[in-house]
Amino acid sequence: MRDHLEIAVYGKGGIGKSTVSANMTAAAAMKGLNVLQIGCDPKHDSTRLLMHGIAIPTVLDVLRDKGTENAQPEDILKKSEISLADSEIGCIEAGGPKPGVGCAGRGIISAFEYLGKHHILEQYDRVLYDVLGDVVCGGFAVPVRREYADAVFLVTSGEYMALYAANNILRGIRNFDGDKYKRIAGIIYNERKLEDEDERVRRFADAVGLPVLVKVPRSEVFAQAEEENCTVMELDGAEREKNVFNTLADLLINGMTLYPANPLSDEDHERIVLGKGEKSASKEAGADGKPSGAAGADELPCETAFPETEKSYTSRRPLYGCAFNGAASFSVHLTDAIVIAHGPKACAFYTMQTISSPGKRNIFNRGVLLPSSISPNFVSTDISHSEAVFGGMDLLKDAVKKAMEQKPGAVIVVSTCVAGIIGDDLKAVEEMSTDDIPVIAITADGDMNGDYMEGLRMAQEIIVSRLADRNVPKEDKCVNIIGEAGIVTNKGSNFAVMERLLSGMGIRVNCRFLGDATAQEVKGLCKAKLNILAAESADAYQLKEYLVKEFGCEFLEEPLPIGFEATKNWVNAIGRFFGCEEEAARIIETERKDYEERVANLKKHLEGKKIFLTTINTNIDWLLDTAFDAGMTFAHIGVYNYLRTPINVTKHPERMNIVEETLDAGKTRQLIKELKPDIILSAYASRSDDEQAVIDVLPMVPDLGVMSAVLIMERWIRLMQTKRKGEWERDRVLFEKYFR
Amino acid sequence: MTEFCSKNTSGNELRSIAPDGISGMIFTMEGIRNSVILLNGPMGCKFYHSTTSQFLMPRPALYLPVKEGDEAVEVRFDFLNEWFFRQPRVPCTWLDGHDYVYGTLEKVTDGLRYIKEHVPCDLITVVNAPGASLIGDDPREICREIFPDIPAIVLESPGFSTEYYDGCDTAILELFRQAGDRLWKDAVKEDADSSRKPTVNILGISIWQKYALGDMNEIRRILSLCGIDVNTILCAGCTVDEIRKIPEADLNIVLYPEMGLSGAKWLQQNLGMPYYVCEVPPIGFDATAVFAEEISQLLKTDCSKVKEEIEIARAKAWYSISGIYNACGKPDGTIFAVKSFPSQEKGITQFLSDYLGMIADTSDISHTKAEVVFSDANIISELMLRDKEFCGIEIANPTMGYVDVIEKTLLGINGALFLTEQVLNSFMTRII
Repeated sequence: MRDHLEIAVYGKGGIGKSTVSANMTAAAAMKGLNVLQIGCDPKHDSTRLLMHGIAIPTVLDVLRDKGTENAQPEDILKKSEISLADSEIGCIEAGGPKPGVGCAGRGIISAFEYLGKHHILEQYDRVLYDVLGDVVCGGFAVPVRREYADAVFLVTSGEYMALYAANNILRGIRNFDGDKYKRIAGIIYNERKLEDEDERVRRFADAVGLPVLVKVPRSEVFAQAEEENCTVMELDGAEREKNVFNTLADLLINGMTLYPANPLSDEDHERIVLGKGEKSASKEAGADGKPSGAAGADELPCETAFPETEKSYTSRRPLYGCAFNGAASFSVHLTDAIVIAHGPKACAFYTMQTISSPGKRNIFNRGVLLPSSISPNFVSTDISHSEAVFGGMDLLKDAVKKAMEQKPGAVIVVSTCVAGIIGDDLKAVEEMSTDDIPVIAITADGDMNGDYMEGLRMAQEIIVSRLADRNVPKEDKCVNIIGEAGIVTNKGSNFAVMERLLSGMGIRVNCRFLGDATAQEVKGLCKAKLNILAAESADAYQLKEYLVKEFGCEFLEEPLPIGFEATKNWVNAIGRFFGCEEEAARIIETERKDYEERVANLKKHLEGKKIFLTTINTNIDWLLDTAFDAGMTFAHIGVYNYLRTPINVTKHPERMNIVEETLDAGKTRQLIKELKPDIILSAYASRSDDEQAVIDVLPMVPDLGVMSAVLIMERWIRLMQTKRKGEWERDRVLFEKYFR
Repeated sequence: MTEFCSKNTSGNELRSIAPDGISGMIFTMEGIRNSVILLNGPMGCKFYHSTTSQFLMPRPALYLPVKEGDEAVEVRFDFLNEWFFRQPRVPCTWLDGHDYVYGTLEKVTDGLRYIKEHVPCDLITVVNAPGASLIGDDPREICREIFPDIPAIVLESPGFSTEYYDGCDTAILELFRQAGDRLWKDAVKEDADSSRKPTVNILGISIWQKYALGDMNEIRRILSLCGIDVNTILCAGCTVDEIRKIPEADLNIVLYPEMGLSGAKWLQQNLGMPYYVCEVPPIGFDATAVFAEEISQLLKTDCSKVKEEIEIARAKAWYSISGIYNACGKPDGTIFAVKSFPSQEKGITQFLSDYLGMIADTSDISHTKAEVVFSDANIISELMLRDKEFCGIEIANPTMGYVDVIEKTLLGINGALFLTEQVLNSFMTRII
């Protein structure tokens, strides 16, 4: 007899698994084995007969109430009420959340981890897992993992759906075992007295290659035992029924032959169970392909446990970042709101780093403290295991309540994938809104509802639709800035440049949606007669489209300007809109003078120099304009076009002949060698050893105003005046020598 | 082991801005050289770990072909690699909503196969992100099947909102549990060679700690002064070969118990190795002296060189401290607060209180009235937003963004001097 054996009993809900398990446990214990029965169904009634009707605390209830560190094994492990002289029956119920909340599968995982930590299983000769009817998710499949179940019993009647569930369980086990392992002990046939029932079960058993170990007869004895809250094994008489469980107990004691899982396809299952024909030659994914049924235990090939299948994910594009992060990072710019991340603290931490890194660098490098970049208004519910199993709505509501006590302009709740998977209903917290404090739910569900940009879009649209008042009266000479990039170090300085240009024309900024604004400012968004797009990014255009459609907002054609030409056109356009052309002209003249002086100096140093540029697919006319003004040329402009959108780097068709899509770093290197540029400009600085060019990085968010490119090119002059190539650049070989 | 945690009900203190157990797990396994961690999770969980890991330790560049048959290019210039996404550390399975419904194992299998084919490594780890752990996918079998020749670790349950250090502790324990048989199946401790120096393994330090590299150098140096060799500083820049040699050491030293005690206990139970846990980690002169003395006593070596060096360092520190003291009466009586993980807090608090005569403010950090705050940049910058007047000294990650080229340390003799230096400089604005 093996010292320790673990057995999982699976079958459709209501088929009688718990009754079979309890009687099998009792029979084995009466033969002298120490047996532990673990109920793995959230309804936690597996051990009721063994406990003579006494309900025992479930593992998950105890863990939730006491915490893992304080929960003791004796809190959850109860001795059966059956009197035994030489052996013992232990009873455990894993338990689970209330129906409809949390994640019961995760609950099973947590319960098993606790049992493992305290070495509870090893204390018994045999462990019986009585498992929820079907392998509905990975959590409920835990008992069938090879680290637990050495053998699996399938309980079924001859009903179609019971056999269907049994076949599904074989599929689950097949997924774990592939062709390599044999763990199915056989079928426990729990009779229902249906027509043709014996034959149906036999046909199924033959087709999947499993023996019918016992037939549990339909009998009043079971009802009697139920009524008396005990097992059949404890009743007087009932020898026929007892024999069945003694047979099973003998298997537990003496061991059993194990078979591989050979599930049927749905079509075969229907045909065979309903007696409409034989099993076809087709097979379930991962099966061995041998013709029907009874694939011999020793005949199965073992080479491939993980068969090649057509990939299901190749048509889905990878999601860059997650919608939760995008939505939360955007929402914190509603400066008087409190943003609640509903998820584990890891998620809040990643987002916090996204939000606060530029802010911290600003403190460190410049001594500038920007509140939204440090984000004082971002909190997390810190979903723990308890909420992952039992649901997190109470926790979330508490967090919203606490946030509202601080009288913020709004409370914004954003969900992570954990909240999404456990099915927390985020929208329910919107009912907590008051007249003064709107509660806004953004159901990002981590990346389940899209990537970072999608989260950004969701947050933009939901926040503006919840807060902005369409009926607010218009005010003259005020504008909104729409779609500023939230997380960049030059956001403050860029806004200062733009505000200077606007104030020169007597125009004020009404609302920065959502560069940084209060809930009140967003409420008054429609006061502004004119809206100005902050950037030519896809998300900014999406927001523009939404505001035009939903709020009838009027937009200036030109976004916030980068470079001289754009600034000139932008100031002129605003001057025309508000009827202040003279002020606009004065501003342009002043800016032109400064620009031309600086470009003249650039020209002295840079005229005739060749630029090699690789860039992402955004407009760079601001750079091209100034480069051409300074007399420079472009050897090559390569565009990394990840999103496969039309090439957008210039609005001048005549410039397109030097533009080429590139995705190949190797080709870029070759081109540089051939074209010998003076300046190599890209999103990421890198050089090979033989390059003598000036290397510089193109900023992701350039400075606004006329000097955008001038400042960059002045740096090139400085770089050209140095040795261009620091000695450090030769030391890569040393790095590879010492740090490989 | 997943934990059901009791909730912090103390109100709106500084927010949950610390990383949790999954980061502890990832950075612990990232501390093993020439190993790969496949994160079975969304890309949103990858970026922070990939970027940070690259900065925490100098690592060789990773070259991969853009397409099959191509010449390999540095992966940070390859925008299309579907596992690494331009970041050489911590590839991921980029889980999405579909995977949470239909399972993640297909991508795990393909990701592991890609790594097997293209990235030679001595150890492979799969870490489930919280979402993957919720749906219960268990990649253990796949991982062992694809990597039959090297230790393959699966960290299935990263925990939800657990502490960073819990993740470190669990990862080390799982490393031993899952790879111990393979690594040490024939481990037999040879009879002591009298000419061989006593050797120790160090547990309970993480590469994510601020100044981790400097800390490791200092600990090696202190032990070397005691005549003790270090076989490995586990999961902090160690190699798999060093892990293999763990049983050959005479003692396991646990620097920070939160991050390594479970592992040390496992080694005791399973390999019979004794361990020493620092009651207070070697932060400051006294704690360093105790550390050197106790370990020397256990291994029968001589720690007099450490004591001598401590004496010289204290003399040097006295000169600087007395100069500041003469000018402003500090550090005596200066109120300070420390916010970090428990044993580091304890060590720093003891040093500042006992040696520098400062006064610890143990109230919740969000209400602190301390003049000097020792913590990470997130806490320091948040306190700045609350108009607190204090000097912030970074002792933990995340940082404000300062790039350390010279390795600094908070441990040992040099750590005591560095902490003293930072404290003294925090008083400078008060000296006219």
